[in-house]
Amino acid sequence: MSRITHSIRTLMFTLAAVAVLFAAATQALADKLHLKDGRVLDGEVVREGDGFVFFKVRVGSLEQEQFFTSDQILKIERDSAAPAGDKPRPDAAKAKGPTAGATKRIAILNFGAPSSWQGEIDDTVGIQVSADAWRKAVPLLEKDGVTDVVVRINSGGGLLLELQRFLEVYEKEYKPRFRTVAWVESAISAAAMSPWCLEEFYFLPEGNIGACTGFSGRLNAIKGVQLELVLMQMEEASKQGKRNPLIMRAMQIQQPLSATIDPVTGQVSWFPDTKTGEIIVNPDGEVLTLTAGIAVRLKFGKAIAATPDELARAMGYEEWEWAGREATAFIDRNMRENDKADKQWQVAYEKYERTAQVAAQIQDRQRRGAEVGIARRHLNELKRLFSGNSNFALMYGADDEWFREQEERLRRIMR
Amino acid sequence: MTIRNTMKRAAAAAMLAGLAVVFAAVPAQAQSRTGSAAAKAETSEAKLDVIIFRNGQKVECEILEETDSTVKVKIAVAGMVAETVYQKSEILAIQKGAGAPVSTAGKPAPRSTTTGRKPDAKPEQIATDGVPTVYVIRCTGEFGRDVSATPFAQVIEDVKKHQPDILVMEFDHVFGQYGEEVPDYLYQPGSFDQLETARQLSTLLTDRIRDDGDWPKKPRLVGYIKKAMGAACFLPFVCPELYFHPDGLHGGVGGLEHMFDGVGDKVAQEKQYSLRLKRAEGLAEKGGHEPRILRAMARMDFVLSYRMVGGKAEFLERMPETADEFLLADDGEGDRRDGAQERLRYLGNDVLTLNAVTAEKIGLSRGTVANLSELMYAMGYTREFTEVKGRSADILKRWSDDVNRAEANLQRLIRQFQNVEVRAPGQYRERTAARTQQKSILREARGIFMRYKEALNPRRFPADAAINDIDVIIDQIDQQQRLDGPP
Repeated sequence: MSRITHSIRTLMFTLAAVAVLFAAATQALADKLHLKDGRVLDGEVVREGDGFVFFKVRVGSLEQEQFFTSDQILKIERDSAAPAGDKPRPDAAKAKGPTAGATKRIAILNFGAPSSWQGEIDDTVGIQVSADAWRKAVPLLEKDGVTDVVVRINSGGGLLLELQRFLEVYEKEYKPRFRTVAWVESAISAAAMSPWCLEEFYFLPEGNIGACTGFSGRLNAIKGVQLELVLMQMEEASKQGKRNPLIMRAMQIQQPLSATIDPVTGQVSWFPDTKTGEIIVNPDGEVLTLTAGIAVRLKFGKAIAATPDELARAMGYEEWEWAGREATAFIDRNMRENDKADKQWQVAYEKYERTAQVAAQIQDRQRRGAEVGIARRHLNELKRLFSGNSNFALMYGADDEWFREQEERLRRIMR
Repeated sequence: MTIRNTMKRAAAAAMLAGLAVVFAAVPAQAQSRTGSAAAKAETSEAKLDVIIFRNGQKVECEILEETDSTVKVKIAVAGMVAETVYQKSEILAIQKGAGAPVSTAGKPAPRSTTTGRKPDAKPEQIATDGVPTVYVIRCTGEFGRDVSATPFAQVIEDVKKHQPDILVMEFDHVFGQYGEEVPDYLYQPGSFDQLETARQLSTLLTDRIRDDGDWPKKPRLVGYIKKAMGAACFLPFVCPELYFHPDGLHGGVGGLEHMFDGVGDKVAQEKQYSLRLKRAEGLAEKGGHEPRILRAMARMDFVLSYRMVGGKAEFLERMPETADEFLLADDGEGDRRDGAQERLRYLGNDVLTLNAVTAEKIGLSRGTVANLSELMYAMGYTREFTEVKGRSADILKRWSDDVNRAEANLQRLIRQFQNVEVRAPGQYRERTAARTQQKSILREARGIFMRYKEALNPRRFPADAAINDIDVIIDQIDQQQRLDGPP
């Protein structure tokens, strides 16, 4: 159901993201973190919540943000000028909240084909569902005066390499411009991780989100450095989405998770085990996927909404307009075109390869020329498919260099 | 262009709709009543409450008692008054005093057939004399093959034509996969591969009916389980009301946590189990049912018991500890492992297979009924009803026959393709004719794959791969033809 591709490019994307994190750390570091394994780290508590701490550590000339669960920590000696914690930034979501003046103009964009499409197309992140298309939809939304964007998710996951692109599109392009919320039918794996930086998640009654374990081939889980990098990447996304990183961690690895709801305040505390919290959220040895009921009960989800109107009301609106139809149509069309390209790619490639091979064996120059012409037509078709989604090139190993080699190959055949 | 939708407009539309109903309902002579006396008479009259369900259905009733999870009401159906309890999980909204006036006898008025009707809606097809109408979709054969998205969409269109008060989904499937029957006592974790079909059908059964403006009266959706084992196990969960046949069986999806034994890493296996299970549990939550029931059906390592509290089952994720607690499914470890004797008699509990008695005890089933009459009675339709004679059985039967015929035809076409020969004298013209014949066979096969790919046995007829292969082979034949060339 889910495809997560192990690739060097993924590693490079993630390394780039980590480099950005390092570069951003400029403040004085004066807290001490005492760990149960005996280590004492000097640095700064960047953010903490129930059951976790993000701690910025200096290693040589580099600063590195690390994540620790409370069961790893013995004590924290604080010397920061201001206590760390959730420091809400004056974000767009607040500015565009329910009480803001004019009638809201809400657009619903499909992240993966809803089940009501009856399986018309596949729903792979990075293939059918493209971050580039979402970026291109922004001007269309702005042109129509959209104030709120609903990311309606139904996808079984996809390519890990698309993850950072989506996180950046949502964090940098959408959140500053629109109140951007997720509305989940099913968000599995990369489909859960891609919009994780969004701060509001709503659910359809059948909604579910999680199962974010990265793997390649025949269920070979990503391990070692690559796993650590993806875990860190999602800790950052958790910070952006203002939610406890333990939730995503339990979705990625076999991290037990429990929670307690304060009966007075309703506040939810999370624990990285199955004993401390009153509610076992993820049993030992399992990978977490939340359904709508428990997600809302644990305040991960804001509300359950079965229809767009219910959703708008759950978002706090009494008056709204459905808008952004051009952007909606653009995203839907893009998914259909990508699906068609994905399904045609293999056929086009086989046609090209066979035609070129046969052409190379023909002695008669005129006939050989005719076959090379047909091979070139197939190659152009591959280029057209390639241009729609650069991930195809990566998936099938056909990048710009490969196309140049093929052009040269056809020229050689004609000599 | 945008769709404008404001609460003010909705309120205005609702008011207009309400006025239309009032005008239609008030006899001509009563319309002459004017002035404060009439107004007083109306304002002093007690009004019925209105309950709006998640499936779109509205019921006018008198609320007797309300708890955190249930609402007990008095309701009049076909002239008979009865008390019933609704789960709040099924309810979208409760509008107190928003219904019709309570009749002078103090009894709730019959359920209004015009409630929720849009002003511009097409006329409803109401049964004569207000007798409730019921459309039964009898799902038989193999789920995902004999009942799949294409015929089911046609069936729903047929139901729409009849606008019944009640839509009964009768599940009486063969326990099997890819045309091969499975003994009832075996587990079929591979059934989860058909979960996507169930998710698709569930949207036809619920969301499409709810959202279709041409469907002014939303039917009461009821599931009736005779045999829903394996892949057929999932869809019934989206029905807010479930009833069981006395011999009913529900489950057969056990052993999910062994589906990928021996393949890859444990954490990646767990991911696969998790996403499948929670997508399935999502259907249960959509129908307002306890998702842990489905978990106990699927995972052998999940332990579930229950005890009765206030007439309702309270579920416990552990073995029973007292005499008033009852086991539904243990972990199947050691001497708790079911033996062949228990499984053959459906008495095993390594995973949960529900029968009518247990399903009713734990509240998944609202009752055990042997036939449609008993079902209607149990649902509160204590007098006569009319069963709509729709085309669903014909549609499903025709599809089933067509799928069988399609597979037979594909086998025939494969044989034909392999047997295409170049006739004597084997010159260019004969070779061209043979290639033309091959392409014709391939195009016919491609058409069959395209039309029936959702239902074909993927082991014998992997449609997507076959369609690609056919396209490549046709291109290859064209190339051979070009290279052959006329003499």
